[in-house]
Amino acid sequence: MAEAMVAGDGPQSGGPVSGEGTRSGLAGSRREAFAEMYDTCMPGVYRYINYRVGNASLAEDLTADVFEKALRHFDSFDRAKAAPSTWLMTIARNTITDHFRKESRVQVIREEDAPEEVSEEPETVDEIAKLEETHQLRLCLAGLPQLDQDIISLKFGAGMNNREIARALKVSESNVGTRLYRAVRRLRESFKGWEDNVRAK
Amino acid sequence: MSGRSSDERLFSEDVERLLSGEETLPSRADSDYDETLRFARRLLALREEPRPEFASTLRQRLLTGMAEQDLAASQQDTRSWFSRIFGQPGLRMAMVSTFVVIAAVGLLWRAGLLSMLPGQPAASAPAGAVSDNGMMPPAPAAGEPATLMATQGEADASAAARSTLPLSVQGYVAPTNSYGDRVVVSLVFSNSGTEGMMLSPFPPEVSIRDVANDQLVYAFAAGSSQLALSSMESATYDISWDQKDFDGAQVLPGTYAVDVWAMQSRLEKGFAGESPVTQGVVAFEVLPGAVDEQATDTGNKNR
Repeated sequence: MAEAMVAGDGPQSGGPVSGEGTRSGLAGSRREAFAEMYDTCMPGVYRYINYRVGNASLAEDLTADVFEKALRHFDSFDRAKAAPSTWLMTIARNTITDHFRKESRVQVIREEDAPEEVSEEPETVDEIAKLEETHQLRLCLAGLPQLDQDIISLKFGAGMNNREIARALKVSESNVGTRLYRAVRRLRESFKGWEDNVRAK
Repeated sequence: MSGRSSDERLFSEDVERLLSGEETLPSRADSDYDETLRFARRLLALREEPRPEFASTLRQRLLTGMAEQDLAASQQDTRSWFSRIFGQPGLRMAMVSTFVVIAAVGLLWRAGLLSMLPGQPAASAPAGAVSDNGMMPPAPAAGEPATLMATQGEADASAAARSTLPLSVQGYVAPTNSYGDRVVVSLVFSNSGTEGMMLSPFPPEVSIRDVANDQLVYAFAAGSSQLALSSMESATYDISWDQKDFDGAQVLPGTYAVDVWAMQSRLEKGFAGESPVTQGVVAFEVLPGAVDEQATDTGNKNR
């Protein structure tokens, strides 16, 4: 799997763009700075959103919304206060929340909200099983508290480190570490229950 | 408690390694931790990269939007500048009033109406002019400058010309002259406009006409030069007539008029606006007396 991480201002960042790199973009034109931010952060934003909504098409729409909002407020964005990735993830979280609120949906993926993969006409039994497993994983994820969903999505979807997640969610870095481990364990147990049921059948 | 805390920290570190494509540390013989870490790998496998087409399309759309935003901002700046100037009612009123006054003055000037204001030199139909019926107005008092008059039958055209182009001519002559004496006529060409004008030909054609019968008695031929006059500039041309007609004979006592004919045109705009300069007439009187046989035509001496 390609490891295009969304990096920010953290020293642990292994991604292609550091805070310094973003500041150098500021030296260029405003348009270049925005383009640089887009190129650096868009994959992570998309992955985070897709992780949360479990639908590629919807994730594209919401990603576009995020960057259009960022474009409108780009002039008021203060890089001294937040890294671009942190700022964009905050916009992305609010966009997802607004989406679910607008659609009057509970933030739980229901059975009838089939993920896009189902429509791709899988050919083998293994593929069907894998898609079903993926779908169940997303259902289990949706069953977690929203903060835990965010932590897991930002970690495994966007690829952010704990410091960046802490800044984006406005919690302490140690809290992120603690909640991440516990949330993954809880998710694992939830998913294991589903797997056991499947095996029993 | 510290063991769990250690697991949490270790788990974060291992996940970071997974995210960066590295291998995790060897198993800690803790099945629960290892299972959680394996599950983390499955979670990592859930993530999907955006389609390249989507990425490039959105990028292009955003940058286009940004360019439009920049354009709108620059237009807004222009509008702001405009509204700063014209947004204040007092300033706006002052500017509009100034514009209206300037436009009105310009229109009046173009229409030639300003020359009719009191204190301005008369450019048309002044006192002392020959009327359309050919009646001779009283000659001006001695020493006073004679006033230009429109030639009979050409008054309308001349007036029209004067109203459109700014070059005018005024004649000055002694109102009464002894029989046989030289009559000196000073012609002053003035450009009252705002742009340079050209008088052509120069010297202009100047003719002497017997007002009693409207017969031309003598004419000074036009020159082949031109006279350029800047805005508000004037030039004088003098002629001296020995009271002889075309045949060299002394004219009879009576009232005579001086006609001037030339064309005026704008210096900068070619000859599109060419029109006759005022065909002015200045009148004077030749008094009765003995015939001076030696009188000769010296009218071209000043050319």
